[in-house]
Amino acid sequence: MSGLRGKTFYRCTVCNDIHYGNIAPKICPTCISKDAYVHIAEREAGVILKFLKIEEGKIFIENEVLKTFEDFTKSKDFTLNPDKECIELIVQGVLEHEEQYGLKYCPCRMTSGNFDEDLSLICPCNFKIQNNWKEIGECWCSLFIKRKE
Amino acid sequence: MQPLHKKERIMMAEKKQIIMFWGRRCPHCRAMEPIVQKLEEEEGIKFERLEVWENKENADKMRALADIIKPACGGYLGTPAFYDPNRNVALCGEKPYETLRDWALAKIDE
Repeated sequence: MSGLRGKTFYRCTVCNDIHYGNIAPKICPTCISKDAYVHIAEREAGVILKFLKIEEGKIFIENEVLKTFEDFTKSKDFTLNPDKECIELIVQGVLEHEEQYGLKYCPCRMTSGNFDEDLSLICPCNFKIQNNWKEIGECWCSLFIKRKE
Repeated sequence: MQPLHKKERIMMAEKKQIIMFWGRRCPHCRAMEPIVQKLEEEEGIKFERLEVWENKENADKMRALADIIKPACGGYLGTPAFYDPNRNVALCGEKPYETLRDWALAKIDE
């Protein structure tokens, strides 16, 4: 969803900083991570910032979520998993979780019940800190995989 | 861990009940289902499957085991997570048949 003069929301996948603007910041002003922002819907921003309830505002539909994930991989050292069935299952999962619980929680990790703690489970997450990424070059759910040299 | 003979494995499996926490949109849980079924059929291990996203009670059971499951899942309540109540240990993620079998049949002191 685009807002005033084409502005829209972006979320830092490392620290969940929210940016409202025409383009995603190259460097996160909060955690200084580079190229870590992903395009998100207004409701996702509102729920993270705690001024919207989970039933308020529109969320992205499946194709829009997939596009944000694809865009997120551009010029990065990782890409989407080529297994379309796997991607479809994960996208359906994150959308179901957003519908039911307010945020795009990872379908392969359960929430703790603590809102702030569970912000780390929003997809895309900060998967480069995970052992899975370090050991096999995949995020925990295998949505994002290391690009081959 | 020493490999077990089939007879010994079956005897141990008769006493075994493993809890499998899984999510219905988790691709790794889906990939593990045929392996779990094969272990039930060939080794007699009983798996209690608890879906955690649709069933709040199951989610709470998983959260109550966070101290055991999180270290096995890289610091999260990851799925699929296998929990052995007898040994109070967990195994997490997509695993080969042999890995899950040997883990599930391990003795208490192993």
